[in-house]
Amino acid sequence: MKHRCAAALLAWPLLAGADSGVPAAVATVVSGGYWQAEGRSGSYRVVVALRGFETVGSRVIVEWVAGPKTADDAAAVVAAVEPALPEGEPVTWTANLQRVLPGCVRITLRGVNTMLPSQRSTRTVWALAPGQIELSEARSAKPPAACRGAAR
Amino acid sequence: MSNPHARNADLALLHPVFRTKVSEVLAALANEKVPFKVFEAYRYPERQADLFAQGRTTPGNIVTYAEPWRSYHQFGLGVDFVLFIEGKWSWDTAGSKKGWWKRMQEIGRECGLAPLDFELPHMQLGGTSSNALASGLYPADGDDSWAENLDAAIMGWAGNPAAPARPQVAQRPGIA
Repeated sequence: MKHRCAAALLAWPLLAGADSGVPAAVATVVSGGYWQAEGRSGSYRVVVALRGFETVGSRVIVEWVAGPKTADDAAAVVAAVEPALPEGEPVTWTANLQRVLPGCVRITLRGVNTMLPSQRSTRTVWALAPGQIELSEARSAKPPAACRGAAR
Repeated sequence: MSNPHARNADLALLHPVFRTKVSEVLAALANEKVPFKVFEAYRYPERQADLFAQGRTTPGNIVTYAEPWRSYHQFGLGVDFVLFIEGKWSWDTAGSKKGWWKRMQEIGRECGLAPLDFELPHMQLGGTSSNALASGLYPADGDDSWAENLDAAIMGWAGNPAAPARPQVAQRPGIA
């Protein structure tokens, strides 16, 4: 009994809430690649966050994260875009990020409709300069012209 | 009672006040040639438990945060409207379809239904709450079709969380 009480006391602070700074809705994060623009540089990050209650769906947000320039500086999100995915809300997405060229990454999104799991889809998002994305149908392996241009 | 693990779109199992509003929404949408149908209406707690388990204790992604008796569907007070185009369900929000979803929610609100944030298909009866329903406080004017089904669902449920109170006969309309 003593052990049980001790365990409960130890667990309480965790259950009472802890703020790591990461929103609780965030389900997965993938990052990689490299971009440069206007004197800043950094990596791409894809955040998948859950939303809803009766039916859960996910939001996908593409972010451009600039690294700190000095020891006193902090990393910062300089741009964020939520691709308009036509499948609608009740879809949970998983994201995979692949570096293609400097200034361009391919993000492959695989979605499952949470209300009708037999409905699945795949989308490709190309992330380019900060704030710029291109959404492609299905598994488009060929980088868009803007992606090829980004390397120059 | 039909298969408690299967999706059910039978409007007869809804609370009559809610059923009337849902029928009004469907009629208004049909009048405007906006192709929505009810994808799911009453949902038994067994199916809610199946859905809740998914992504937690069974394979797949998490599809709901609502445990049994925490969803309005278990009380016949929630439905999911989904586009039905050329014989297929569609959650498509691209192009003109975005306006259709918006119109469905507008009409739903005009008819006294309440949407949930970030859940386009789901509409439920306004003026009550999950806590009230879980405590057995049901909307007045329930009929036999609704009450008998809810009662059967309550009496047949032995899982967790515990079932709420049975619907009272006094809440049903009197015999004419």
